[in-house]
Amino acid sequence: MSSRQVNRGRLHRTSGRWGRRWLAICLFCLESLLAGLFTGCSSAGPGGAAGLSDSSRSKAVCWLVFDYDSLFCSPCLAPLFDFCRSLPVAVQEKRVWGILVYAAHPDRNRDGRHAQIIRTKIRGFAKANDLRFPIVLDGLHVFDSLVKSNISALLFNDTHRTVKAYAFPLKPEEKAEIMRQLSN
Amino acid sequence: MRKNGKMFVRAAAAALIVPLSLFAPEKRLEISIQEVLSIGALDDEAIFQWTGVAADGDGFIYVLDGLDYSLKKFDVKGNLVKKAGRKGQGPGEFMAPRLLACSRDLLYGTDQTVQGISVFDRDLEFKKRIPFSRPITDLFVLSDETIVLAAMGFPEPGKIIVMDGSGHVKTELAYDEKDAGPLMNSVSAALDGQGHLYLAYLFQDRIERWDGRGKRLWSKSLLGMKKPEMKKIENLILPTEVCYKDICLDDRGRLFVLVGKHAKNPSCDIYVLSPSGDWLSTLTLPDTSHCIYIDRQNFLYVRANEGITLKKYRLIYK
Repeated sequence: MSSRQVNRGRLHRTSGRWGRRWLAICLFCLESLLAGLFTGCSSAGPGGAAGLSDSSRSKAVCWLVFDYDSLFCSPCLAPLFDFCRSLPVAVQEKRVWGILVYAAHPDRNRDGRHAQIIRTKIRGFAKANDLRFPIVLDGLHVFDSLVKSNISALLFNDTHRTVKAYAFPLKPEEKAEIMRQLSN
Repeated sequence: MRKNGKMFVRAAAAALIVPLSLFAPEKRLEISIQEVLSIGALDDEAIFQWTGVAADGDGFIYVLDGLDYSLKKFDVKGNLVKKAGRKGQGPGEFMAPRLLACSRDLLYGTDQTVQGISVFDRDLEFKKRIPFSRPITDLFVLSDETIVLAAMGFPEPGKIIVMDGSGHVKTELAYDEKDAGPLMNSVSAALDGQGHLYLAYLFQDRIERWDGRGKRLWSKSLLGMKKPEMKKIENLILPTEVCYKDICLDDRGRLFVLVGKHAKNPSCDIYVLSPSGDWLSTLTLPDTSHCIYIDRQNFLYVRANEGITLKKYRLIYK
């Protein structure tokens, strides 16, 4: 996660061609996620049918996108851990998804073993770092471009009909905004 | 050797037995491996990403796990006996655990982002941290008062350092005086029963043998590489390809070299060399590994499943 700020907190609904493209990607991802297209996806979780009550479904959810290689780089994920530590457990469990992006190695993953290995590793990693949100693997590699653009968090707000993208480390006002929307 | 060149000889001779076969002329060998133990699988939570391994004289296996920041102890059957450590920089904690070595009573572990060497007893109780300020690329322990480590340096030269249990340097060898650039003097090291030191450069096609007085006896290039591939990352020009990943010695003093990208089977091929540096055999592992380790009973330990699995093999010589 680089400190380079890209599209910080931009309101993509009104940001022109790139904004429409981001929104299209995000909507595609949201639909794909709900349809269970991602490896390791379950029906529970934010936005999923079994994860939230009807009343809470209209609130904000946050996707945290991070790269598999960063798991082995302790300082790289420090801003993400800082952010997660500040989230109440209930928010982590119900309003946050982790999306793990990993490089496509056709040879290594011919029989799906590589994805299975990553899934095992992420279990240990999440437990050791007390990450309470579900983490899914981006088996379709639709989030690769986000990681390359240093986008690390997407905040969906159903009430406001907005999608915002953030890069880590978050500015204090960005962190406050995400916290506020997730806690409402 | 700057301070006391004979220290390596005395230290090694006190700790290890010199096999007579070491002096016999070597012929080409056929070596195969037979799996005797496998720890960690895709559907369990024994290991998530092991980095360092060591085995004691009773057959217990100790593993550093980089993904859950822990030190784990397994019995001879591979059952998890105990787990210690957590994420942090305090006593007994890890941020990025890497190398592990053991003496008769103690375990010594390094961490990539925390300075020094953490010492645990065999029940995984943290005992102390030995201060050391430079990055350590290899570590082995002859006794609790003789710890040998390879220290990477830039712009300082790389050094092999022998220290006591308190971190006081007994002797040191500056093996690469010239300024080769960052990471270029990173080595894996091994010490035989006669006090000869073997070095394999991680980012150069160079394997060397030194005597106990600090004299280079031979230097070999096994891969035919002239210059490693470099890449500019921010302000530094860094090597991008690992030539030799790790070295260790078997009970007959043969040198096992795990070869990186330029092997026929990258990270799987182990070149076996005689003490004089002659190629004897190539052993190909069934899966890639980041390191190799041979214990006192001459069992070989390597990685499988990208670090989730630790394999223990019997070495069979024909």
